[in-house]
Amino acid sequence: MLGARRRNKFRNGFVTDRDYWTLRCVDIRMTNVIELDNLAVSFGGRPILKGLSIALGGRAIGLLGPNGAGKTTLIHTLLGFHKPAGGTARVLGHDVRSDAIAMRAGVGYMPERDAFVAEMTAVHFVRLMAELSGIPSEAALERAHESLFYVGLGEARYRGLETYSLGMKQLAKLAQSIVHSPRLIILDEPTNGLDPPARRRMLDLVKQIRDSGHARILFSSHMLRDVEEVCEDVLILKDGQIAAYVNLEEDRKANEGAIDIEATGNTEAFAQALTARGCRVSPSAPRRARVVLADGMMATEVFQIAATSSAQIRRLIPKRDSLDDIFHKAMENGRGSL
Amino acid sequence: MAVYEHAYSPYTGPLTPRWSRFAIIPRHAIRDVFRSKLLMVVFAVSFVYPLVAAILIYLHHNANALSILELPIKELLPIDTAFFRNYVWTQAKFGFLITLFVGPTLISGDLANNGLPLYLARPFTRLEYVAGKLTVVAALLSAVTWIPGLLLIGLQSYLEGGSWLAHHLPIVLGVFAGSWMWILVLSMLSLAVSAFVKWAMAARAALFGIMIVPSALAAVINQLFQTRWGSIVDPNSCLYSILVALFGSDARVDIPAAAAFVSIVLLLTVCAGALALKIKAYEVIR
Repeated sequence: MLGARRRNKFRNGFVTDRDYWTLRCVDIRMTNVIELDNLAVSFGGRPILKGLSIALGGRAIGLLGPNGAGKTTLIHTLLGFHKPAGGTARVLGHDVRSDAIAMRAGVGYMPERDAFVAEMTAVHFVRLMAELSGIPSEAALERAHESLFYVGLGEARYRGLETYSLGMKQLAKLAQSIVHSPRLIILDEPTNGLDPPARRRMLDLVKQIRDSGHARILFSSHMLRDVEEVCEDVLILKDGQIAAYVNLEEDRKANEGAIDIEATGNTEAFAQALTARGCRVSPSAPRRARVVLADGMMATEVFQIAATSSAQIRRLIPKRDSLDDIFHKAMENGRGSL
Repeated sequence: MAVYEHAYSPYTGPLTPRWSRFAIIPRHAIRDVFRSKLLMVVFAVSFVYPLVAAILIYLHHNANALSILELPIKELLPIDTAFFRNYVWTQAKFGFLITLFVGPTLISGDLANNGLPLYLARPFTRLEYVAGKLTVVAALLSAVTWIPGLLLIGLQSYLEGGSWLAHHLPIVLGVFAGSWMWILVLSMLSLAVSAFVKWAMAARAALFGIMIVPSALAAVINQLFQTRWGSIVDPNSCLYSILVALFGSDARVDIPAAAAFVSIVLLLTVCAGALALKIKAYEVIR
């Protein structure tokens, strides 16, 4: 805890960063943290991101896509590392092209690859990163200790980073990404190469940060299960375009009461009877249909309706779209549809 | 937040001003630089010449000491323009040695460990990064060049009294500007080499080569074409020409100061271009 005298020294001795306070004053619950308007990025004339337009505003946003879809390019563009070839990208209300420095004051970034400053202990490294974000030296040291304890590296904080295991390095990267209290934390493949306990710890930490409400999270990963566990919204990219943007909770609700049915016999009469009972029937293939049950209707009633319609149910599967289904559908359907 | 409360809490204190943040890098780097005992020795030895120069200045103004030594020091080593020019030249060589230790590892370490995205994902520009790294070398070289040089001038001026300083202003300019020319060239060269060569020993060898090979090349060109203009490719000769001009002395130089200055500016531009090329968060593979 900073003593009152030291706080006064900070107040009197340092100029408050206007950009920082501008960011602080913006409500953390503002609707959108990332706004893309026809964003295009090209390397050597080759288009990588092709006119992305979307507003992202969830507490934790998953970024999915196959290799080469443009996930990392999008992250780097959001951080101001790549200049857009067209369109605009705004992060926390700041244009990434013209206002990158002010934007970065409110962003924490955990890169995918190993990334460190050579020959440093973890506490020295995290302190340096905090200072670069504008935290005064002594407060930065305090924050470095706190961040390392928070991610579970408290006991190892005086060890050189080169002696860390892969899991510990990932946690050190997470510590440096949160040390300056960013309002948006961009995590690029945070569970890469982690063993199950380390992966569990990483996911728990990310969920804890998400639930604290202090920061929004952009979580890029190949691991669909991780994204499903942590994220509320998911943006799926394919070939540099948006293949889908879904709210997982809404998607689950929309699929509540839905069943996939395979039947033989008089399937036409069966479908008509279900419709008459208030169900929505969407044929998906010959003798197959997705049925959204009427309010209060139980699945067992479907068997009775089938019997009275001279149809036999061969298969009945309660429908619950997993992220895996959503992802694969997005990959099959291409742009914008599920 | 106390360390035992392992919960995520935001920082709510004040922030340092933007303009001061480039100084964070040298503050952390200089702390680490002196972990090398060899560098400590070289750094300490760099102060021998200024110390000897200070003693000589003192002896010049102490009749008792001169009579005890029975040496014609005033005639052998007069405190004049050449005295201070030689001081800058000698200290610049020690500066080169220090740069060999410090410079080549400054950026290569960050490149080898992918540290650049971490710096540049913060409210910290590429220019601030380079300025911070450059300050590391510049601070160390300043400590062995112009700072003791100006102290020596102060000592001489104090002991000589009267209007010595007013009559020798080119010496002040020579010590200050001449030292800074060296500092700038050594800093930029070492950073540029460090940005391209990741292995510290190879980077040191490259920096050594860049300062030595052009001298040999210049000598070959001068010999072959019976000219002195070959020295324009040699940073040492160019810096010496500029130094002589700054001191306003008539010592023999190979090339005119203006041409030497253009050559040095060109060298610095190449270094800046190389840094602009390499100091990026990520390399884009096209």
